[in-house]
Amino acid sequence: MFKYILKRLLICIPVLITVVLIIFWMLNVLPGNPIEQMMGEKLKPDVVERLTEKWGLNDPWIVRFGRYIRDVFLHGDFGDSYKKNRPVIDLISESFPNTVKLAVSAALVAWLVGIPAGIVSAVKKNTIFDRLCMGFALCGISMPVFWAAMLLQFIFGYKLNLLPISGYTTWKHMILPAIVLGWSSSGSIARLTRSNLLEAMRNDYIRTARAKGLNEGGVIYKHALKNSMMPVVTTMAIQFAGLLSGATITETVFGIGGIGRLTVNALQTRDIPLLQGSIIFSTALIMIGNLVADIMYSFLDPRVRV
Amino acid sequence: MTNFEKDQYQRDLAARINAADGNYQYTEDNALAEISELDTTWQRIKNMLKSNKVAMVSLIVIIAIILIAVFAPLIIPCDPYEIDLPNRIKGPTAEHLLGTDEFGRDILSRLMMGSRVSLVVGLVPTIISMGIGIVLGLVAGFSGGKVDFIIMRLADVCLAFPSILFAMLVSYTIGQNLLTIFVALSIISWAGTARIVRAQTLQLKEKEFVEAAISIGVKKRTIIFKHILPNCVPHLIVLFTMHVPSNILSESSLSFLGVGAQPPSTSWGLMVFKMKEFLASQPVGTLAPGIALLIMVLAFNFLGDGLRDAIDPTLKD
Repeated sequence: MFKYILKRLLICIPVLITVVLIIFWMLNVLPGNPIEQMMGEKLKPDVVERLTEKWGLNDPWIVRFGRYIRDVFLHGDFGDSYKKNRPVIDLISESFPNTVKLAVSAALVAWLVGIPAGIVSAVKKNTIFDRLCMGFALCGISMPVFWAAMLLQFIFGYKLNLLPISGYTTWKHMILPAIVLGWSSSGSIARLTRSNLLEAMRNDYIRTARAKGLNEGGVIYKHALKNSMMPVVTTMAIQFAGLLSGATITETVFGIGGIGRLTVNALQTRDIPLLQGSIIFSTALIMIGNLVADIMYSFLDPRVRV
Repeated sequence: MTNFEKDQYQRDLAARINAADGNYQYTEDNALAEISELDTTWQRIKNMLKSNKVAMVSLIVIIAIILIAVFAPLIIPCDPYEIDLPNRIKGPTAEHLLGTDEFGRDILSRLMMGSRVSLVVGLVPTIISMGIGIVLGLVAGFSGGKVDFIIMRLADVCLAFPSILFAMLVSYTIGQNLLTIFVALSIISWAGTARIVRAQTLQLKEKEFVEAAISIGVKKRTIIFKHILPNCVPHLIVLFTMHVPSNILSESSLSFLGVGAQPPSTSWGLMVFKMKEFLASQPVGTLAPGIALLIMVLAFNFLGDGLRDAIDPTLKD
């Protein structure tokens, strides 16, 4: 087991470098000169020259890539933002707390709604409760997030004037984004909880537990739930990593200054170092999530090596 | 948003296939079951559609949307691109059943044309990415060794990119339009399919009937098409129905962010984005494309659920 985890960790290093290489290539090499990309083609030659010199764009791309990898992995330095003239790592670490707040609040909503809904559906299988919960869950999965966000903004912010619709300063600002994002994440959790719980309930040890006279609640909570939550927990891990890597749309609609909005802004202003840094940061988080999920899976079933 | 359930299902399925029992007994029954896998799959799907009303309704809705999309130019009431500024942002009237947008264009007609964008983005990149996944999964499973290792690490690379972020990256490189979304969604989401096809290949490769086929000199191609792919088809159908709605949502989200379809295109995500400032005065303009998206994605998801229950009995309640 330890060997597998170590192997899995070691594999991450070349994978991460490949990810950085792809991102670097797509932003720095394929599109052509970054200065023209950002400022248009009508620039004075001396300005172009000065910027090329300043940003070290004269060297071949492989040299620049080597330098970038060295800076990122050894010094944690993602370069300076072209537009804001500040270190990218500072901009990321300023935005990240907002993303963390959003991710934690959304995950809380998702888990507090999703898991009980899944349990209720499984226990009251094929009743009206089950149908309602599963309909609600599937709506959450199928709902376009930007649209749900706008509707909630309109109803609670504009019509009823109960909650602020933009910004992220007080706890009131956190409610609507958490609901929107939490709802869409709770759907998967509820459905997975239900299907895994139902599968666990078919096992022999459940029949044994019932036969020895344990009440239904005990059967479900002590035996079935414990054995059925592993895939759900795995999903929660990946989902949380996904939320941490920036809920681009929710952050954009609600004007939350997190990683997702930082990425969209960088894309719109064609600010390469910032875009590069924020995408690398996000994918690294997703990779950690995937890693945790794979390792958890191997604990669940040691025969499995995904 | 990434469809976490899809990711989880792919991981879980690959794991289950990997862990499936090693002491497979070659009996006539098993062999017959293998051969008739495809027939039973279709039979199961037919039975499911007969008994599962929600799935049946979803299928009808999907067929209706496809018909609307195919015949859109013939049945639209107005020209979806015709600008009529004096009549901009009007509520529903007899002439414009869903009202007009910010340039006075007919929203119903734009919705109908927009269904083409959603359907094509839902279907084509799914087919391409799953095609890539099938080929790479087969190659990885058959070759083993270094080739397998490299392909599976490439899969890890792809799994690390959330599709929306990857599409943003591609949009920087080749420009912000629908083609970007096509390319991005086509090349990023093959990893799950590849994992599953690889697991299935590895498992079947060990089975006696495949070993026997190899030993009497049956061509690799025949083994792939006669034995391995038919066994993958049920899983692939389920994956397909999970990829399509997730791609439709990705497209609309990207268009909403301004990365995807560009004006005057009729993408539903773009329509919501353009009309959102007029939510108070012309709510139908924002509600209609959103509801259309919701219905389409719901229909695909309900059908997918039904298919998954029918095809993958381990998950059946």
